[in-house]
Amino acid sequence: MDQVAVTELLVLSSYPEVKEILTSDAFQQASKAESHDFVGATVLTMDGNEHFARRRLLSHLMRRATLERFERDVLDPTIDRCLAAARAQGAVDLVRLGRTIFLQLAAATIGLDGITTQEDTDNLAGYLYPLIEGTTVEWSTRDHAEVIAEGIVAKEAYRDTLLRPAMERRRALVRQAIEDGDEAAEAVPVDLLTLMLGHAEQDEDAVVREAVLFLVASTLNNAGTITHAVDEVHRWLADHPQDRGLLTEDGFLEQVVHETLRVRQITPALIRRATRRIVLGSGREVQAGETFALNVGSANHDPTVWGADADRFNPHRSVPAGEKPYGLAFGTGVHVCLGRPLVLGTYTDASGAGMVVRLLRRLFEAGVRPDPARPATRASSRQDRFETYPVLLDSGESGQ
Amino acid sequence: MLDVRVDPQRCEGTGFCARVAPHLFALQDGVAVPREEVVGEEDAEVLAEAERLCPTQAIRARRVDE
Repeated sequence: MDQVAVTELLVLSSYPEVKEILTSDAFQQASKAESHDFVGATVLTMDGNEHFARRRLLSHLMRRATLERFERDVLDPTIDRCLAAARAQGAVDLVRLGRTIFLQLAAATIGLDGITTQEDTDNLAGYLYPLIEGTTVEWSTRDHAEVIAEGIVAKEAYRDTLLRPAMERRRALVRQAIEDGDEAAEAVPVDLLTLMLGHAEQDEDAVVREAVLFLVASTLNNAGTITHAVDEVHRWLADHPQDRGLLTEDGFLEQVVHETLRVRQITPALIRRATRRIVLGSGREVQAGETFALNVGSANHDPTVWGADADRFNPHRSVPAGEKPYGLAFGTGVHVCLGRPLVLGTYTDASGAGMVVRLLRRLFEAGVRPDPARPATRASSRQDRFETYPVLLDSGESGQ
Repeated sequence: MLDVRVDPQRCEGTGFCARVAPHLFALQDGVAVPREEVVGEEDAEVLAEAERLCPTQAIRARRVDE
C-alpha cells in the first residue's frame, strides 16, 4: 500500500473471488505496509523463495510432539491456574483472561524464559497491548503516528528486557550443543528464537519482528475468538435453550469455534497485489500492480456459498461441499495461518480438540455468561474485537 | 518402507510438499498427490519435512512391513 491507506483500496467481498486471489500465484502479499516496524519481513509479509525458506524453518514449531508439549505443559496448567483465580473472584474480563492464557503459550512458542508468575505475565501484557495496536495500526481509529510511536516504545522494551536475555541463553545452548554433540542437542528447546538464531539470523530486528508477530497473533486472534464464541453462544442459547447441554461436548464446541471463526472475522481485509495481468473466474480483468482489499469477513457471509442465512451464527450449519466450516478465516494458499493446527487441534488423530475448544469447554463448565451489570466495550479499531468483555463465572468450589 | 497418503479433503494445494519433495508429490487440479504410494526409507527425512510443512495436515506417512 505504500502510500495508499487500506481503507481506500477496492474491496472484494465475493467468496469465489477472494478464494481465487488468495490461492493464485498471480498475486503477492501486500498487507501490513503501515505496520512494517512491527511485522515487516516476517513470515506473514514475505513472499516467494524468502517466504518459503522462513516457512520451512518455522515448520519445526508445528511438529506434533512440539504442539502436544505446548498444550500439555503450558496451555492446560495455565488454564487451570487462571480459571481457578477467576472463579474465586466470580467475575473476570474475558478479553484479559484470554490474552493472559494465550500469552503463556506465546511465550513458550517464542522462547521467552521465566514467564511464570502473574507479575511476569502482567509485565509481558504491558508490552503486548501497545504492540497489538501497532501491529494492526492500519485499522486503528486513533491517530496512527501516536499508535506507532507507542508500539515502538513497547517493542524496544520487549526486546531489551525479554528477547535479548532469551536470545543470549539460546546462543549459549546452541554453542554447547555444537561442542557436545547429540546429548546436548536434546537440551536445546524447539522455539522461535532458537530456530531463528540456529539458522544464523544475524539481523536482530528481524528476529524481534518475528517475535512480535508471534506474540500478537497468538494472543489477539485466539482471545478474540474465545470472546466472540461466548458472545455468539450466549445469543444462540436465548433462542435454542435445548443446546445448553451440549456446551461441554467437544464435538459441539468444535462446531461453535468453526462457526464463530466464519461469522466473526477479526481482521477487516487481507491485502493482495497482482504481479501480472489475469482474468479471474468471475470475468474480472486485473492488471499488474492492481491492489485489492479482500474482505474475508464479507466473503464468509457470501449467501451464494453459505446460504440465505449466511449472516447468522448457526453451530449446526451444513458446510457446503468442498469448503471448510470456518470458511476463509485462516486465509488460504501459501499464506494460510501457520498456527491453524494448534488453534484447531488438527495435528492429532487422538482428541482433535484444539486449544480454543479446550479453553471454551472449561469456561462453559464454569458457567461463563456476560455480566449484565458491566457491558462489553469495543476496541478503537475497525477490527471486529472487544476491548473488554466482562463475564460472570460460577464458584469452583463444587465444580472440579 | 513408508506408505504415503494425501487427504484430498484437507489439501488446499499450497504446493509446499511438491516444492520440498518434487520427486514424491505433484499438484493435480490444485490438489497434491503422491507420485508413489509406497516409498523407501531413504525418503523418510524429506517426507517428514513435507508432512510438517503442510499447513492443513493433509499428508500422512506411515511405516509399513515389507
